[in-house]
Amino acid sequence: MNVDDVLRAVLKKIKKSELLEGKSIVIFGVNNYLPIILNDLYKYSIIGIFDNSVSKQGKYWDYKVIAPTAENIDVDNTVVLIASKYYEQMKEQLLSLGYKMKNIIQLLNFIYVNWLVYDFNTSTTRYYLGKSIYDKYKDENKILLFPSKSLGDAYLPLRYMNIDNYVDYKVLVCSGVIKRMLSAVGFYNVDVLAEDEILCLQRYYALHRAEIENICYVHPVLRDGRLIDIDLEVMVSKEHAFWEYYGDVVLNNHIFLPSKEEISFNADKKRVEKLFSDLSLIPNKTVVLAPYAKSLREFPICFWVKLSEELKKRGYSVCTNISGDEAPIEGTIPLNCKIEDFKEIMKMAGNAVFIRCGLCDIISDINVKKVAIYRERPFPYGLCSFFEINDMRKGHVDDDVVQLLFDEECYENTINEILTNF
Amino acid sequence: MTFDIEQANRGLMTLSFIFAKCNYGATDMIWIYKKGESDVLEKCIAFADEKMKKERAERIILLTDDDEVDVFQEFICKVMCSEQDIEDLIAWYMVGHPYNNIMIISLIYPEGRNGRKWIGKGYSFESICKHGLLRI
Repeated sequence: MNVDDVLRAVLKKIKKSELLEGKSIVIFGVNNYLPIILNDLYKYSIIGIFDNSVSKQGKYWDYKVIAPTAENIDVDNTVVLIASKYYEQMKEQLLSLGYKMKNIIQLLNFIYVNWLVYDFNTSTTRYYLGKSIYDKYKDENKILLFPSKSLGDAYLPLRYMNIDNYVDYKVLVCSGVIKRMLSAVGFYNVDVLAEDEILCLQRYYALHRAEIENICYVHPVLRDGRLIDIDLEVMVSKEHAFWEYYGDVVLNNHIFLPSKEEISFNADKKRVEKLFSDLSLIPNKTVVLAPYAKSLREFPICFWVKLSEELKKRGYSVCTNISGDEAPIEGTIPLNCKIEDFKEIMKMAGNAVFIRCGLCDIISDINVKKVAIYRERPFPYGLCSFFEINDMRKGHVDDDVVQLLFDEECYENTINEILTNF
Repeated sequence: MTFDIEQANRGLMTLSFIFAKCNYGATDMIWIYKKGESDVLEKCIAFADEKMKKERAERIILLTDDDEVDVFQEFICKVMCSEQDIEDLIAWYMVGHPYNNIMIISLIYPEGRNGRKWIGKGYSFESICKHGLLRI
């Protein structure tokens, strides 16, 4: 579709409406759209064409092109059609000549029409990409679609599922780490798609939810657009935490609270013990720091350095959980472990101080000392704050975690609060 | 509602016509209302003033196929459409990128879908319309 198509459709609608009834017509502007308009309205009483450019005045087809005027024209019964980006100036000129606003019609509002056509074409392209991906999987009996790249978002739904009932499903994810985590839990049929493919697929699914029966969408909200059921919108309002009612609403399994039972990752315990031995870490006397998060601005490094020094003074070994290029906090032991071993390592370490990230969700069902630090930021939906939506205690995701808000004015206050737990 | 890309295409054309007819501008909001949910419309109209302040809008163009809708607020401009037009617009809305200033006044179609089942689960009809649908 292009702007010409839109113009033809607008003219068709105008002809059907009362706008031109019993009126003479003047077209203002000799441009690329003029032939379309003339061709479409040839049966109507077109009395002339206006154009301010002297070079364009004269004749166009069989019509006279003149400078805008009200002379010899019944302005009360003449409609002026404009398909030009200079509409505003043209309108002012006509009004000053005595034309009535109700008789000036903007056939194409270029700002909005260009914007609509562009977005519509993009949306439809993405729609067909989503369809092609769905077609590839439509014969699968059952599919679990994990749309998020976030580990926590992939982990938490598992706590609302009886996993044994789902392990045979084809699982679609957009991250290799999530694939490894799900494989560690027992899912063996996992495909990793590109993030954009997942986005298109979830949008296609959103539009066809009524007919698509083999996809189970594993997230409370749909990404890439606002096609979100109101119940989920309300769920993330101030009254409820993000994951509350997740099992009931999304998985439709009448599970209202996350399971208290730990989800096992099939870790290699010997490997974990060796790691502790190699790094000289003391079981239950080790604090793991997680200073990096995708969804939150990081805290100042000096905060973590000071905290680790204080913890060491209290007799703890201090590690920094890192992955990829992330640097460990100065003076701490870097811990770059496999996701499969992560929970086992945490259980052995016994203590965690994490920025509020997906790792907090992963350790939400194990019994260790946990401190999660939040940094306030407005939630993109505008409904509530980051803390309100990610509050782990509210939806009983973790009843034991200590949750603190980072003190932006004085980070030492946050350190002192953390240390009261150690 | 079964989604149909051709219908969505027609919806875009209809919207372009509405833009032409109403001289649509940056301070306008478009509300699409399909007849059958007058309670939702009534509640939304009650919050219209508040919504307009939030969006810094000056006018609401209410597109509807319901000739029984009475609007007394001077900032709401009612435009009658055919049933087909309204369905096309909803189809467009579903496939097209949604905008803050164009919305469907409904607890059946997105974004209000399933809104009614939350009445009685601790949410009032009023808060579902205000927070859930209008996002005030």
